[in-house]
Amino acid sequence: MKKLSRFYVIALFAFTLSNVVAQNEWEPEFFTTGYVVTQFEYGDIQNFDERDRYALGLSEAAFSASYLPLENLEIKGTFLYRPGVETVESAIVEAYSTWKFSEKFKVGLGRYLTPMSPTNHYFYAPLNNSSTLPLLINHHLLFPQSFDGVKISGETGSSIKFGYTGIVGEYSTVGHSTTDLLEFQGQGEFVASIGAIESVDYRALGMAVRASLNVNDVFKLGANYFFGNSITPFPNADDRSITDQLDSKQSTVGVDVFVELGKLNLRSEYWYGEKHTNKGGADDYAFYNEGFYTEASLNMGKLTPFVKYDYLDDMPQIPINKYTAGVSFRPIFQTLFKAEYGYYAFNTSSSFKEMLTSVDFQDNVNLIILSAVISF
Amino acid sequence: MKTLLYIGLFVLVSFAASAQNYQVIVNNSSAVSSITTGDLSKIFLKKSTKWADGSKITPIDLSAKFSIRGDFSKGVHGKSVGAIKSYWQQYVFSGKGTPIVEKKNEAEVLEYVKNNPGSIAYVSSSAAIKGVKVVTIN
Repeated sequence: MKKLSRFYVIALFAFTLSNVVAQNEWEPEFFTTGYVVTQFEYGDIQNFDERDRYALGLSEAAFSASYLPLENLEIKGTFLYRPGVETVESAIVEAYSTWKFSEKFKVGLGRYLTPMSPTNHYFYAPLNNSSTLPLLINHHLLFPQSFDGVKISGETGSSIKFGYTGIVGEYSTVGHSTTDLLEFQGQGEFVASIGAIESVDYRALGMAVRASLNVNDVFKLGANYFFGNSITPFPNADDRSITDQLDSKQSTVGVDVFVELGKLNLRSEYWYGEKHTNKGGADDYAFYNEGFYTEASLNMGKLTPFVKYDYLDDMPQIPINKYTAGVSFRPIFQTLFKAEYGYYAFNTSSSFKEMLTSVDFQDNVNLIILSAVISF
Repeated sequence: MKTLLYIGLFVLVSFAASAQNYQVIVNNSSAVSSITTGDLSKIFLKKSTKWADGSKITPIDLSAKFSIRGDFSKGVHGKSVGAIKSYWQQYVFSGKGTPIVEKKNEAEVLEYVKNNPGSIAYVSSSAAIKGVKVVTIN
């Protein structure tokens, strides 16, 4: 209820403002869009029953509405469902109002997808050539999915543009653990490969900033920084069945680049993060996380073949390398078909593998995914 | 001689068939008299938002049920209406903003352009142009 009341306050603020400020010839605008994704998945996940290695069903659905009561005021909300989303509150991925003073300066209040990384733009199925999210997005230990707070942003220039974004507020480190029908991808890749581990959902205060350069939309460069006070779950030293919640500080830096060479699009991102518990002294723990993503796609009009590579090391001693090749086909606006093959390789050290002899640890997983995205 | 005549007639017919069946219009107060297809495309994709004098550009789309929307999209953007719709869907979901305004019919388009300085739109070549200015496309 407390969270929902925030959105009511935002909406009330926007509508009050619209009555206070005199309107000129501006006609209020309302725009909606959305999509539904049906997906078939197969994964040779050994600790799944044979029947559970296949899945077919609704894998994603989203609806977005934007309202502009004034020329400089936008109110927007986006709802998104995925298999790991279990509450209405989790389904509200965006809900905000933004006042545009100029192209160089905009201020917003509400909930935003973390505006640092362009890979957050892969968050929605029609924007993504692939059926799967980059590991940087569906794992949340490097930076959070969303922020609730205050955002400023702006851009200047014409053919060469400089942009900035800053957001401060509250975030949740994990909104969901898995993002697909097999309940394998996302934070759950580790779950499936070694056994059940509870995901943690908790809120913390933080900030994120981004600076970007855009040259004629054919070359883009970005630099990102995230900082937050968070909590690290850790087994109690005296009783391993108890999970302690240790106060921590977390920081992450990232760089991203996009290049368009004719019909070929290339994009890459690299992220490095640290998390330190701050009890002080010998009881402190430090975690180091690293992630890399790169994709090459060929724009052939309605057909877009692509290859991509993910690397993520956010679970100590179990880094993931993921290789994906696929194709997307959009014959008309309303339909987008995707097909891909993904190969997960869990590169643990041999000594760590020896520690896991009591459980069946799977070094690699093959995934095949077919999707149909219907847009409106 | 006859062969040359037939070739000439063929060229003339082809030219007539490929001539655009839409015209680009602006408010009468606009200083713009001609524009390139490249600049038009940027305007109608919100990649250019200001006229040369610094005033705001307001592009207006026509409903997709009219065939000239497709002709304009192919002729100016080099893409189908569906491809442009995909562009706007990405634009919205990536948080950049909202698409350009779409009017239900040519009468609404003409009325809007007539009353709004800075606006630009397209209507069919046969539309009755009154109170707005036609812009030459280079």
